Amino acid sequence: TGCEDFLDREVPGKLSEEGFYLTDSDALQATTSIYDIMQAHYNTAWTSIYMVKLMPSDESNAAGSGPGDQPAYQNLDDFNFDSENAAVKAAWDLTYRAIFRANKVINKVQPENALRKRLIAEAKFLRAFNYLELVSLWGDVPLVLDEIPAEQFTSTSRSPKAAVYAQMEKDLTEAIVDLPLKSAYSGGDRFRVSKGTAQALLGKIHLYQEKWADAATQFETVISSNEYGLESSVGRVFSKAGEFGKESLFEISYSSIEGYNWGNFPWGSQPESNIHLQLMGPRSDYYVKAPTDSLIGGWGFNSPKAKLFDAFVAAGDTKRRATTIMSQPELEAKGGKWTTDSGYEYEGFFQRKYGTYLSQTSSEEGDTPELNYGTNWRMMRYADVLLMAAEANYRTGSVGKAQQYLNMVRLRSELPAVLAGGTDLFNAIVRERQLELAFEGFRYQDLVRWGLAAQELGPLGYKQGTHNLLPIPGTDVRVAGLSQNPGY
Amino acid sequence: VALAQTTINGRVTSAKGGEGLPGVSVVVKGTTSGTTTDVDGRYQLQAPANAGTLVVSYIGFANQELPINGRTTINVTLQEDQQALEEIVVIGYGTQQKSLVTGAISSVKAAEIATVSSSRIEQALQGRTAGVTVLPASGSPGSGMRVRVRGTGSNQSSEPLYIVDGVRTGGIEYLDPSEIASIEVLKDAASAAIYGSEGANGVVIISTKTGKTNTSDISYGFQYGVQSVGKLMPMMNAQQYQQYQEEAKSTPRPTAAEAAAVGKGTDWFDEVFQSAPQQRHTINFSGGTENSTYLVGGSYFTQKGIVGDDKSKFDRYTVRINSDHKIKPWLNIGQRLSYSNFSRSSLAENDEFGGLITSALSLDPLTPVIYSGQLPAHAQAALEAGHPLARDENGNYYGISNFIRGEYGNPVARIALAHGNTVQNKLVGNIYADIEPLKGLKFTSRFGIDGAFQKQHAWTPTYWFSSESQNSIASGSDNQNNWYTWQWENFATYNKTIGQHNFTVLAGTSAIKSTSNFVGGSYSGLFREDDNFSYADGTPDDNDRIGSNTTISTLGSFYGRLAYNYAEKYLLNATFRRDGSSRFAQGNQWGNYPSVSLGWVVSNEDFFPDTNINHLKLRASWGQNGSTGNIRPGQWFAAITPSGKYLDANGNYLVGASPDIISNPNLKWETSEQVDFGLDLGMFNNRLTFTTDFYNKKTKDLITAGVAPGFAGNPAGDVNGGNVTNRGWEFELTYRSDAASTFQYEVSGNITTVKNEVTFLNPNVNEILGANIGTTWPGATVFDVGYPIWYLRGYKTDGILQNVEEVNLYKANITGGGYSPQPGDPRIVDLNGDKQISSADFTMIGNPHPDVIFGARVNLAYKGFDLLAFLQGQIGNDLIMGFNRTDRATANKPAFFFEDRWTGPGSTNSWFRANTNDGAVYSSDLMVFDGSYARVRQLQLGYTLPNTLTSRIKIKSARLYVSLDNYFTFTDYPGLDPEAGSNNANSLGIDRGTYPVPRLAMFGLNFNF
Repeated sequence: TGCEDFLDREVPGKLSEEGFYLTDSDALQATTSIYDIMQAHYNTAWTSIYMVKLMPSDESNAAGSGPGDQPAYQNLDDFNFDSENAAVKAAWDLTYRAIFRANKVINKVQPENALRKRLIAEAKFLRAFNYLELVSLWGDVPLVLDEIPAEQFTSTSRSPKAAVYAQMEKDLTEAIVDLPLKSAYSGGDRFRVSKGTAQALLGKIHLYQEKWADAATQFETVISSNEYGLESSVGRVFSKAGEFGKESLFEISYSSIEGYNWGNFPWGSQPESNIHLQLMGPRSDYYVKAPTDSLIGGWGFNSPKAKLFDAFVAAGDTKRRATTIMSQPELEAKGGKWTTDSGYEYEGFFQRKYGTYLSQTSSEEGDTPELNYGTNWRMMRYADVLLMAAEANYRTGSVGKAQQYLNMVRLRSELPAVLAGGTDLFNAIVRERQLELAFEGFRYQDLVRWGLAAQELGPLGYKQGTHNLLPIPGTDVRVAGLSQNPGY
Repeated sequence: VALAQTTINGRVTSAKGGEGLPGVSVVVKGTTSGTTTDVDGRYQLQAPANAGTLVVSYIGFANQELPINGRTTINVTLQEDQQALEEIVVIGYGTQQKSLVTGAISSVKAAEIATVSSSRIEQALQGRTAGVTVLPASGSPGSGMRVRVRGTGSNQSSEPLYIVDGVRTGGIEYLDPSEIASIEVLKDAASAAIYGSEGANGVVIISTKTGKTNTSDISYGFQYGVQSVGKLMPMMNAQQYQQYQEEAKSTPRPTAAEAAAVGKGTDWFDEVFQSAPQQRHTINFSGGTENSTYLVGGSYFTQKGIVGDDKSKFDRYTVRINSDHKIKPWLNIGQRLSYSNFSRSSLAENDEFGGLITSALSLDPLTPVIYSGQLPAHAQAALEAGHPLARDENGNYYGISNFIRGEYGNPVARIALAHGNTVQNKLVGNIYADIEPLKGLKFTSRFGIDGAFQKQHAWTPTYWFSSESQNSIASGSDNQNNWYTWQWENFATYNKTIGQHNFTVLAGTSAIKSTSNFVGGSYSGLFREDDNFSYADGTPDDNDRIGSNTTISTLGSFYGRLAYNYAEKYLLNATFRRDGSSRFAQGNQWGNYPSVSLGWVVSNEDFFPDTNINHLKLRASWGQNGSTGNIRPGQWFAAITPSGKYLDANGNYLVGASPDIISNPNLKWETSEQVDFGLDLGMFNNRLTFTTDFYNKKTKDLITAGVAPGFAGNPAGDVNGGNVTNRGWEFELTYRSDAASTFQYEVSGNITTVKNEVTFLNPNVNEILGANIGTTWPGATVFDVGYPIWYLRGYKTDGILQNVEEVNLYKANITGGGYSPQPGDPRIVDLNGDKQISSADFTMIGNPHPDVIFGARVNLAYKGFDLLAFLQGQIGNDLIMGFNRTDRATANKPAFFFEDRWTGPGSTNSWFRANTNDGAVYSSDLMVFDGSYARVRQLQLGYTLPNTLTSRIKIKSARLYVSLDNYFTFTDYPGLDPEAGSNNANSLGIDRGTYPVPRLAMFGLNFNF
């Protein structure tokens, strides 16, 4: 009738779900949205899962201007975080948002052609990747494989870790079949996950479950595929030139072409640049860069601990250290300055791995360099695979292989080969992961799974039985009745 | 046979004031001989020689019958009609005799509105009627008012529906008080139910002035006032600041020597507050003949801010043309048309992140406004690093703080750096036709529009206060918003009287379509840092941004009403409305809104004894209303939206798309159900009137933002989240002098009690967290069952830990950590007993809603002098002082933080030691203050020039007055203004650095020609 017609209005800018997930183009856009949400580390506030994983480790301090500056990060750093921690909640939420989007692709896209099969395989990888974050950080978690209507919020509970691992293994096994080799991707598609990425993740999942032989097998497949190799230096891995390079298995991509400045930066939204780089740069109120250096000032969070610097020194590691961490005397020797003696949680060091480098941002006319870092998060890289392979082989007793893979990584940084076996070999692997992968967000999970967290992190406030897992966000406990982890 | 005629003439004057009354009907009783008086109240008529009695009648005055007795000059003095109850009130789609009203309707007439000194018509409602709360959102020029009818009924917008001359409008900020004839507030559901799905928060009906038949009037009004800031909150001076920061060990803090060098240091309030003028001119031309009346009017209002002068400025002019024409005996047509234009510049306010007042509150007293001599080292270093330090017009650099960074900056510099304004053109009006095909039946068709066209322009020069507050390239933005609504209504009214049975029946339809369009963009790299170059043309295109969107919604309605009374003793009103909205899914689009109300005029009963009580009426009503204001089109379904873009390995963007929410096709109307019992009493010929109402208003299926657990993977859309009740009593009492006495007085008061409680929460939603404060106080307001809506939530404290022993004893029970106090810190209560202090211990620490609101007025008049005093206030609401942020530890603080602080064992048990960075302390009940206040809104003294003088200069009347508005405030709240407001429902009661309501000293005059 006329009145009904008067009331039925299309909503501008909204497409109903029935009209989507139908074409190749829909499938591509739906898959892109998974990668995109994994890029949302700032996501309207400062709530990066990278920082959630890094802060509880012994690599750096929250720092910034003071203890109240970024309380979520500060509390993670101090081991006094609770179930209301905004960064923990956002890490949980965003991980599940990626899973939600992956579920849509897996459930709704019909695998009618090779492209769609591959996109579904990418979605399966991304779902497994996010579930690994969940089980390794929170333990048992709800296993969500489809959209949950509101009526079922309260009837959903946490699944045992084993069930979640089984789903990940299934997803990855299926994904490996349909994913191409890295070399089969060309041009812009090189950011996509490949067969090797899925095999490496499957290996990592085995490793986390202490299925050592299965892990070693998967890593061996990746290594023997000859699809990957080590860059000439760690510095090069983290340079612009290293993005999607031969050492790269999986990266989250950011942009420096947005032309952001103080007037147009989308605070409270989802920027395309990696604004966390600016958060982590040396605090510019006190930092004067050396004339020849390209590391500019930022806001001083994620400020390195002396413990890490000392570990590099003790290991006789100089080349790799130079691209990872810089001391104040080194800054001053190059002609830079640090103009205060009272920087908050400042121990005298500057981070250079994910550095505020002018070369990784844009300073074209109108662009503010501080706001345009295009630096990608390196989620999986070949050196990590080699070290995991070394660990798996050590556990299965293949000492030779373990040494071989460990030393491949050491050699690149001009360090002498490790020839020891037994516990010494294991300790060497532990140290190598600490130094090679410093500031990359792996150490806290490594220490927990090795059972070394109490020893290494205890002095910082870590309590075994509580801090080996993060708290389930309060919202999920209250709204859906999820059980809480011990101690929270 | 022609009878002999005599000519009678004379003058009709008002008993009060003595001025001539125009348009008064003078008729010889029992004949057709009659006339109306001219502008001076004079008349002349031909009467039959044997004429016996003259009847003089005029609306609003008591009729008089005078024996002629052969006189040829008869002067008449008319008394104002004390039967105020006989006034007519405007109800939805019609009018009703006040004595027959069965609902709870408050009414404010033009005479009361005339004394208003604000540009906002809402002020006319403030404190005047029970059950209506009007609070300024801020004291800045042109800022809005928050109007609540019978409490906060909804969790988002609780604004009432505004109907101006039959047209629903988005707001009433475009009206000048001089345009208004009357304002009616429909408070109970039965009265508002005729507006169905939009009436849940009450309805404000505004009628604008029209011309009167056989008159011709010019009225002019002028006001000039000076605004100033009231009581200022003392902040720490340089020594106090230094000592406090030293004790708190904040970094970076000044040394004692640095503090000593500046004396008391900069008082930033002194620097930013100033007196500021405001001015208003209004003029109306009105008049008419037997068949046509007209009113042409206009107003101009201009106000500068007490902060920022012309950087915080409001200018508005309005034009109105109203006319009515009797084209045929059965056809009336007419129009109401209003155009307004305003321009507003404003500064960031009530924002703990970088608001201007917040910068004035936070900046340390050691920083000077400007550097007159040599720059200090930190400023010199910033200059050498190439940072663009801001300068004043004399070329001096503005002071930059060496201690407080973050979003703040020198507030004086910030005012200078602010450039931009909002300009809105608005057109509201309607055309109507009334057709009366037969007696008692009237058909009305009217078409109305409400169109607003708004432009915002702003630009920011380069500046540098710190690494966190800077702009390295001059940039600007332009936004255009258009809102356009049309409505077409057709309704018929039929009146019939059969014996003592009186019926009025109404039936009608309505169609409304609203659209909004937005287009806006930003750009940077201005060619010159100057207003003339603050446009996107002429800047590089690389950094340009553009955005645009559209929303459309429609509402279709059917409605009807039966009003019945028997002998004006037994009264019945029943209404029904059925509304359909495009905002909902098919199947949930329609809602039904019934109401019924009953009245019994006891005083009209034969058995009612002859006492001083001349009017007594009992009322009862029940009804249901809806609310759609909180729901946007398409909120019920998950839509695929471009969710972002992602850079591929070649540096090209790919577009991602995904569902934006979890669908909720069951989303339905918010319904408010209300019962009301009332009593109206008139005594001593209505010199005393008393009205009381009890109301219980339950809002069901409140539309709230849904809360999904994180594992659901997507945000929940809107849901019908819960129920809220508001209930309480309303009392209005007025006592006035006898109309005949020379000394006129009127005393009136009103009191409203409100109890607000959330009674149900959707089980899929659990608690809903509202506003955060700073970075360390999440969910400072909460929506939860058993509590007032958006109650204040934080830690409960129990005194101050006096010494190490007490601290150790306390810590022994807080083994889980979360709070690590020292002597002098508060004892935060571990409410849930889990041996740690975490937000699980948060509890209700305050209620932002008052228990009681009140208003009181006194009017006195004696021989041309009149005095008006008007007090308004509220009791029982709490306020959070929310501008102190622990993440900005070195920010300055109110002086009482220093003066009242714990300084050693036994020094105090009520305020903590110098502590600037403990989030727990600053998220506790220590930050909650009693927000009760009483404010003298108006103290006005007027003088009306005597008639003998005005008639000589051909002026009908002239009144001069002086007024002190908002001058006196009684409150215990230590902050700048207890009316600290917010436009966000869930931020009510949080003072984030509010722009205080200025005091106003004003002179005004009114002329009528």
